Amino acid sequence: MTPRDIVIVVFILAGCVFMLVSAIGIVRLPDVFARMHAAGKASTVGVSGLLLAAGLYFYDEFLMLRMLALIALIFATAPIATTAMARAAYRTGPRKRKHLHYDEMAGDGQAPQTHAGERVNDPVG
Amino acid sequence: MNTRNVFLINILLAVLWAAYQDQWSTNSLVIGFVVGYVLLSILHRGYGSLVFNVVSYVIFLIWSILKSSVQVAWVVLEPTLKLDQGIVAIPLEARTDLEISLLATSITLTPGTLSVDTGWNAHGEHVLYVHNLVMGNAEDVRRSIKQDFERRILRITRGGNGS
Repeated sequence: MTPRDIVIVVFILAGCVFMLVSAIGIVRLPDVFARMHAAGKASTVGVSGLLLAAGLYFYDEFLMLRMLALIALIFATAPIATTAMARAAYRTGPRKRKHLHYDEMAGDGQAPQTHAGERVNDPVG
Repeated sequence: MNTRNVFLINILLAVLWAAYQDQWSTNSLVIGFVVGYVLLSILHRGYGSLVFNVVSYVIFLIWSILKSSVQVAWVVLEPTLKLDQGIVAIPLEARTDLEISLLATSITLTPGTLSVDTGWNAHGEHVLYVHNLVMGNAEDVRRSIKQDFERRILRITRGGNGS
């Protein structure tokens, strides 16, 4: 095995291990926020490890550039979806907040006891 | 001339440098970018430190993503779950949309922290609500995010040493 092979194997292993861990996390963790922490890890660290390994294996300057561009795009877009889902989960029901030990958002009057379909008064827009 | 135009000139210099080589290659593009960067940072005060700040922020972000990924993986794999979830309100010094969205995206990218919403707290300050998987002390969370992320982002967007 050349050193390059070893690096490729390390990247693939790291990517697969992080994906496995986040799958386990989605099953084990208790509520929607904690599961989102686990799911975000697979879509950033896991996928970028696998993409880097693929770029090194079929090595080519422009292929590697494309892989880096893909990683940058994933890093730019994945958190937006996660934040939107977290915000929706927080606002659509007090039941989802019962695992929080500490909640400054409720103290600031940001936690309406809403039901689905009810309009939320939103100062930020 | 603002820094965005200077950055465009730097890209143009890199393409020109690569175009004058015998063979088109990514290496000469990178070398052209570095040469143009050195020249422009001499000509324009502030441009050199801006690019340096951006690069060091990206390196810092990658490092903190890797570090906290391992921590979250450990939390998930422990035999008994030691979760201490909580939402902390972080008073923002960042004002513009670009600064706030950079900060929120960086916080969400780092496993273990997740930005939920923005709003105003009881004192009328603009705050960002951050959900933490393993929280500890709220003051420590607030200080580490302000020190690590917000200070570096303000250094990029406002120049100088931030505030």
